Amino acid sequence: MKKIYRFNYGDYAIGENEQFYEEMAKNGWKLKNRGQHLSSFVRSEPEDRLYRIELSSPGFLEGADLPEEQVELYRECGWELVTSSGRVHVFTALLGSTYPELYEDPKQQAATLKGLRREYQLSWIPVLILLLFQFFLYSSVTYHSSSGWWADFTSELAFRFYEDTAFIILAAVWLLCATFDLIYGAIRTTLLYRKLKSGKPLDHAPKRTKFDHRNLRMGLSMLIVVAFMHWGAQGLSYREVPLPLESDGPYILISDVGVEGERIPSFVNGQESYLRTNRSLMATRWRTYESVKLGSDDIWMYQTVYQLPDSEHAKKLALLQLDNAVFARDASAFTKKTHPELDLVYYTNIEMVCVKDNYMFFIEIIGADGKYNEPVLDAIASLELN
Amino acid sequence: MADIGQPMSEAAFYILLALLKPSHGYSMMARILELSKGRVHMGPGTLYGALTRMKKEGLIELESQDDRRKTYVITDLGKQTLYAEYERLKTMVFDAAVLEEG
Repeated sequence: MKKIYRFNYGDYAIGENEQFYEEMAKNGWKLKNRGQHLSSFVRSEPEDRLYRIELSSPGFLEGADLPEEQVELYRECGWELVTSSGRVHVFTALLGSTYPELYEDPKQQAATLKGLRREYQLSWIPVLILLLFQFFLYSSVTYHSSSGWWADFTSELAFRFYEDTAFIILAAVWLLCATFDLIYGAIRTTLLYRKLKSGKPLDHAPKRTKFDHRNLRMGLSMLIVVAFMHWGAQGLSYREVPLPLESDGPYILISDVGVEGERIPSFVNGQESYLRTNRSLMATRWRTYESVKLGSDDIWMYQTVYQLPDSEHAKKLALLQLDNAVFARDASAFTKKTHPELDLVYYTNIEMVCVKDNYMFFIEIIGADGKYNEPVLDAIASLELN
Repeated sequence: MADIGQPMSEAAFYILLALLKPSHGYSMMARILELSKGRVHMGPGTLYGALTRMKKEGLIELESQDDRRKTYVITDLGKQTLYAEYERLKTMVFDAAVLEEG
């Protein structure tokens, strides 16, 4: 049997949902199942069918199903239960069959909204608890610079925005949509509750505006899908290859620094030298790991190169990198230096951050005790960047 | 001023009246329509909500259950409350007799 899906209205939009299902039935699509965002329909004869929604108000830890007795009573009166989704239960009867309306008294119907109202009022609590727990964990577990854990958190968030733009955007879009949905739902539910409580009957055929909330929901869902696909595309751009013996991009090799040693796998985990690339909306990134044996010494180098939209972004990212370095505790551990061909240079014995044009370089050299800092800077300066 | 009690909703009044004899579901609604001479059309939602409330308050009780169909009947407390309401309404109508004098 042919089945289609359509976006439905929110739980609080009782009249709109009823009217929507009735119109679909008139056009030959009978409601099969209702979900939180979508409803499914099957092909049928066009019918003049009525749909009415009953809300349940379960107690704490009770299921949202309507009591058997209530469903049976409704059936006796000609109303069949079609589908349920959370607190929403959809009943139907053919127009003209003997049926009284479910509620002839709006005040009685108002009481059924109590469960939905409570749900909206309380639903932000678990989210808040989760957030507080995350902050607590973050503030107590990781080390913090003198500027405090909140400054560190925002600095790390800003850094991650460059590194993993699509994910941050997806998280932000999802959070925005969820918050909007929650606030809008809470307001609409309260307005309907007040209207029914004051004795005004529910409008089973409300006038529809162009700024329909259903269209809005579709739009927001589309936004989330796009953000998700963008994240997928960013992930797909990831490539890993063995590190070439000659540099073929805006990155340096240990040999460029004047060290002629032999490439060996890491003695720690056998990792071979590699080159990883990927793109995000904010930056294209090259990441290398290189491990070299020089006589009896082992030197290894981690390098991350970012290509940013412009030099302002490169400098901004460099400063964020100082806060988010691997070994250095915070920016104060770095020493600033000037170099004739580089725009910004910061270094410690192990790590270096520098900027050339719209490129930012973050380099860690372990096993050399800062001996190669100058040659590294010169090697970077002589890179041909487009 | 002597307190003649809290007013009862019309739905509750007619349900108690109908349940002087055991009844269930749809037939309860038909009985209410008959008792009110076709005036009170109670929706199943209203009926169910009122039944749940009154059961909790002890005004009605489950007399028997056949499959999913529950038959209710009025309790002694329910009868007391119904008569008290009836007296209250009679008192008010009597006191307002002046309205009949045109």
